[in-house]
Amino acid sequence: MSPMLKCFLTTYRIRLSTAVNRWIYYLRKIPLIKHLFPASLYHKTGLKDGLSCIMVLYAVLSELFKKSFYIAVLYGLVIMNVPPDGPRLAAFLQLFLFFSVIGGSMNNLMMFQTDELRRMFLKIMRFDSSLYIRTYVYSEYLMYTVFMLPGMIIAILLFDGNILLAPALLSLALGAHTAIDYLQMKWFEKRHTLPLIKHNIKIVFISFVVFIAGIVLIMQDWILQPLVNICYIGFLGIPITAAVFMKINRYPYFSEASQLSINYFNQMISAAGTGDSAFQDVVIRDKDIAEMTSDRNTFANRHGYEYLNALFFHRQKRIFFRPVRNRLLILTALALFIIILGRIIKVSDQAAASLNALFPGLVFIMYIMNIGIRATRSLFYNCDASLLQYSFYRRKDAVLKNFAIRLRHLVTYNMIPAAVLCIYLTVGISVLHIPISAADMAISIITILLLSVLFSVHYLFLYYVFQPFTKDYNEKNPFYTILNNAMYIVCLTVMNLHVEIANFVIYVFLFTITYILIALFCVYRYAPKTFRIK
Amino acid sequence: MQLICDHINKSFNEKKVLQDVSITFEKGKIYGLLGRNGAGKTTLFNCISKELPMDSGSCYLKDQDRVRQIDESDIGFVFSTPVLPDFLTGYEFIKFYMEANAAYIHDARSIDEYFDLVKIDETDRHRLIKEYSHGMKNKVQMLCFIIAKPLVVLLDEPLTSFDVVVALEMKNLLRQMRQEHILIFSTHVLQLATDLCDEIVILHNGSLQTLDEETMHSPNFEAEIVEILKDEPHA
Repeated sequence: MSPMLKCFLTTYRIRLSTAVNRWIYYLRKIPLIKHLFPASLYHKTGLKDGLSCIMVLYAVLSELFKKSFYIAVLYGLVIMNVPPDGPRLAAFLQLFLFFSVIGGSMNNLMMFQTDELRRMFLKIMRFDSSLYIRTYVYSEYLMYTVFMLPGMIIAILLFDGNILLAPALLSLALGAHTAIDYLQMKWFEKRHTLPLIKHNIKIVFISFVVFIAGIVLIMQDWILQPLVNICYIGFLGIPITAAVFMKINRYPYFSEASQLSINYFNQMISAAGTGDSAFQDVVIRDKDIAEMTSDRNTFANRHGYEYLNALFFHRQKRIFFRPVRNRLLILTALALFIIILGRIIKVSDQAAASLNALFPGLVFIMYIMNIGIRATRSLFYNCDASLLQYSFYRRKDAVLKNFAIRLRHLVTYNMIPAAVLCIYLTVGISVLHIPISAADMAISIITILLLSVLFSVHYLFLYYVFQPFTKDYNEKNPFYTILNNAMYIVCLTVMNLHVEIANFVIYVFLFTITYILIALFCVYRYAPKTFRIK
Repeated sequence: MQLICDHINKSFNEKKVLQDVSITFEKGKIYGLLGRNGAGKTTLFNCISKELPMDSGSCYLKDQDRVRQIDESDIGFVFSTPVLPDFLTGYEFIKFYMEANAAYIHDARSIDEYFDLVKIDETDRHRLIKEYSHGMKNKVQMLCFIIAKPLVVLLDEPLTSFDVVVALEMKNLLRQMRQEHILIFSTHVLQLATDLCDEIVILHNGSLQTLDEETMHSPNFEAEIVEILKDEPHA
């Protein structure tokens, strides 16, 4: 058996074992059925071998599904933006170029990026770096081709294209990806650094811009129709790929590059290992310390939980005061811009209709203006993570008193930009002579202020009732995430509604009041039991 | 006053961590709960303090003939790694602690007197806890139970990673305080147990075993303890 095949089979078996163990682990966590999966399952190797076969099938189907879904998304984007009699095939080819060839190849970190498994194989199991990476790269490209091809063929045939375009495009994508591999290898040879890994975030951002550009071009009907004929050049990707593979086979620096990549990965893990990295933006910084202790006697006249929270909110200026200040600055700049533009353009009665359309967007604006999520993270990291370990802090009266005080602080902070927004709206409407009745204006202002309260209550309610953070600063409550995301989706959806302000405001008012009441009731009823450290 | 643990059983899935554990702890003594890693020492503490529900059994307090359930205010927990809010100064934390527990504190002294007791000087009292050393944080943590005077103090692997001086200060403090409390500390360091404790209790294979005084002071004490603990599978 060739060394590469042996390496592939060994690593694949280990990956399968890891996957099977992971499945057993998570099955043992599911309520109602967890008793069906005892810990003894881990050493039933015969059963696990059987499960591995299922995992292989799952992996194959899953990979096929993912690649096909990706092609389906590209197909869908073309269908949505190009009329049936338009150059849909060319649009699809163009989109594929932007997404898979340009954007996708930019993100090709396959060769040198370390993950947990690679680190295990190379450092713990001491696989040969060169053999491992070559095996990994070749197998990944093979699977990419095999699983992409069916979807590509179907999509191209649906666009009445020549079936040969599918392998041509895939060859082009392969050629682009392997070209990036080649550039990385050359770069490392000369400089012994791994720029794509170190600057991953920037590259992701650039490729995101490329993706957006690809979509915008077809939306604007800027489609290169000759692509249908030119794309056969993509077969040149085959000799390019072959040449790069020859280089890979002889490359002498895999060991050194892997070590560098593993070191970088270890640094990332150290920072993220306890979940601390998610709280880096709320950590007390050394340069804030002197300022924090200069206010020693400021709250000496407060007591108990009022004292605790007064000190907390006062000392977390970076978390509370500065974001609020920044929001005020942005609001002011936007208001000035709109008012000045409105005076220059001389808005007409249509502005009132525009306001109708824009008003639902205010829900989303209030949602993103709210500092609740960062506030709760700061509360946990800097205060509750330690104090929740003391029994006195978990007493019912303490939990509820703390909640009430914090809600008051959070509502106050969030109310400031909301109030300023109301002022600017009133001023803008008045200065630009937009015909809106005083009643509508009053209701709108009340709604904006209520929304500010709603989102403050929302974040604190989720924090207290679902308390998602663990001792290691990880987030481990799916309901917390689900409800957070649900609120986000609701606000985003509402933004696209087209209703009269008066009706919209009534719906929002009713929803807000109902939600606040339910949230407060849940906090009262459940928080004394749920607000614990995990 | 006695803390009585009566037939406590606790399992995690199929693993029986505590099996029919029964013991009486007396006020005025320091108990060392000795056991290997993973023996269940912290689990026992969590059962006593009601952090974890027991599968069966009970813990209660007995004062002469009067028996009562353990209240949260009866238990003081001292963590091996002290957990304190970084954004407060030591002084502020103690002030807050005293005010939050005002109903349970009797004969309170001034905050400065408490800091003098644990030898934290005035400048350090008004520094952020974030800047405290490990030893200073532990002293602040100890202050919590010096102030609130819970009847039972559970110390989970205390004195680890202390320097020699601070460790001695802590030991002396514990010795001073023992008369008013039932002090139980868990450790896997034999030397610490013999140095500080009036009685040693071994947690082994889910069961508790009290060492008699003769064994504690025998020249082969260490060898005998190791022999008792040796056949337990390493966790």
